[in-house]
Amino acid sequence: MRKVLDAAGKECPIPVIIAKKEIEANHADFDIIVDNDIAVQNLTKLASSKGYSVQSAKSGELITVSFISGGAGACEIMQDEEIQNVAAGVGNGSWVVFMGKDHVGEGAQELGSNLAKMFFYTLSQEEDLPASILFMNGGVNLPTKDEQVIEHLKVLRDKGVEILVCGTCLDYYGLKDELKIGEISNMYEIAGRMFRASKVVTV
Amino acid sequence: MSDNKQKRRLTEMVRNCGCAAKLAPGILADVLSGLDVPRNDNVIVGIENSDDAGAYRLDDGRILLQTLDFFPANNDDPYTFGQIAAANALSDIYAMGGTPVTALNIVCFPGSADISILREILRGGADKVRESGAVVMGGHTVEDPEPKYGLSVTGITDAEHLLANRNAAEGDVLILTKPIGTGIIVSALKGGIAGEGSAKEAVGSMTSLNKAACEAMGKFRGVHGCTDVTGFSLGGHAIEMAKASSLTIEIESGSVPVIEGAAELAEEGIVPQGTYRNKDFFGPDSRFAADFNEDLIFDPQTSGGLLISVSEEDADGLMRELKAELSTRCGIIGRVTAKSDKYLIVK
Repeated sequence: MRKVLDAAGKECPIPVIIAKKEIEANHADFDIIVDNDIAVQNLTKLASSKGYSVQSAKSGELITVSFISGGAGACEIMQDEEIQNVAAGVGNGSWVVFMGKDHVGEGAQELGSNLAKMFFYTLSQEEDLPASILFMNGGVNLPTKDEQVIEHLKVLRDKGVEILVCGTCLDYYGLKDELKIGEISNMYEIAGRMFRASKVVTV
Repeated sequence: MSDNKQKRRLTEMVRNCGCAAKLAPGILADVLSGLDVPRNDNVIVGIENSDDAGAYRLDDGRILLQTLDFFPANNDDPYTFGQIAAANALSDIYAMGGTPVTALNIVCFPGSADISILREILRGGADKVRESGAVVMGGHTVEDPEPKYGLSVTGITDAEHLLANRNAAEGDVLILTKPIGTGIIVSALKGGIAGEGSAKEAVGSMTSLNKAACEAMGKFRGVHGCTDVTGFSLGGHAIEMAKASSLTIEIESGSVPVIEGAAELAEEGIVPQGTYRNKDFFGPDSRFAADFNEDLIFDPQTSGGLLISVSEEDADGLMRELKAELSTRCGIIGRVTAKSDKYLIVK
């Protein structure tokens, strides 16, 4: 569960200071709840200066600002139906996709590989996007060798989805120089994304 | 603290600090436009001019200046807050090229709070009024959960020395007599994260009277217009001056003195609410041709410096005089040009 800080009812600059102290203490993702737009704008500035991206979701008087590390300052404000999703814990930024192999399901390899291409195409067209897509073990074949999947991943990346690829796995398969998209990551980060996600989708 | 009546810090008792607490300029303009103001030939500068103080011609030809300024506590030290509020109120007289003569205290104070705090606030104010050469003749106190303090100040000048913001001239050079960034630093102080150097420079600047700067201006005939930079920010006050003079002001962003640490704090989101109101209202009249943080240009100042429009010939002389007399950092920050697409261009 990601940490949630409550700064509702606090005037500027207190929300920013609470968030700043959290970043400096833990270097992890977190949510902060505020009740005014100025606080959202100031938190967005803080995120940008610290290399985080933010997403905010409004629910009545309260606004939840989510700090997501490694996002280089992108900001997306969600509205209405997306807010419902956030309330249900399935909003953009709160769930992740885990790919531990390069195909979907078990059965014919060719079919599984085609289903993987279709899966990432479908994902790229979705309105509710995951915060991260995580590739491990045989999954690293996709961001290195599967040109169609790489194209879909580019679309997802441009929409702010984080793509993490297991470095140990790339080394094992000798694919490190072949990586076309995504950041080389490690078990600590990939497992951390899964632990803090509201849900993990595996195919 | 003498008893447990008052354990909270002064700035914890207020929502907005200093001039950041000013009503949004857009709302103010709306309200004033609906007001029927009686005309009087002796009013030289009135409510319609958005100037620092009102100016009224007396029978003997001298000009009476009147102004009023007060705001919620912006410093935890009551004596310092008193000094800042008084320096800020007196500044409007200096910005008109006048000499303060009399002052009246305006006080809001919680009935439950320690009265010795109020005494310190008033002592700070009285000391600054004394330094200005004026006298405090009285005041008025209202019970209010948020401590607020300021003064109504009356000053005198004459037609030759009266400096309205509407008289900037094309080709003039712009001088700013204090660094900007007090809104950001006051916010950081409230949150307990301002660096020692930043706090010292900001408090030193806010408690400094604009008296010496005003006296220096009085020595140069090439000084055409002046305003003091307060809640509407450097950008906002520059735009008001440009509008009143039907000209454009160009600010060289690299030349603007900025309080130590203010730029970094602004980038981290320590930006007072007033900045956003200033941006909303004045933003459309400005154009940023440089990569300079707008949050500095639109940062609401408390007891800010004088923004002086002076002829090119007199600019160096005035700068020499200011550098010799002022404890604050000052500089030539831009120029006045013919009206272009926007009233303010930040280069």
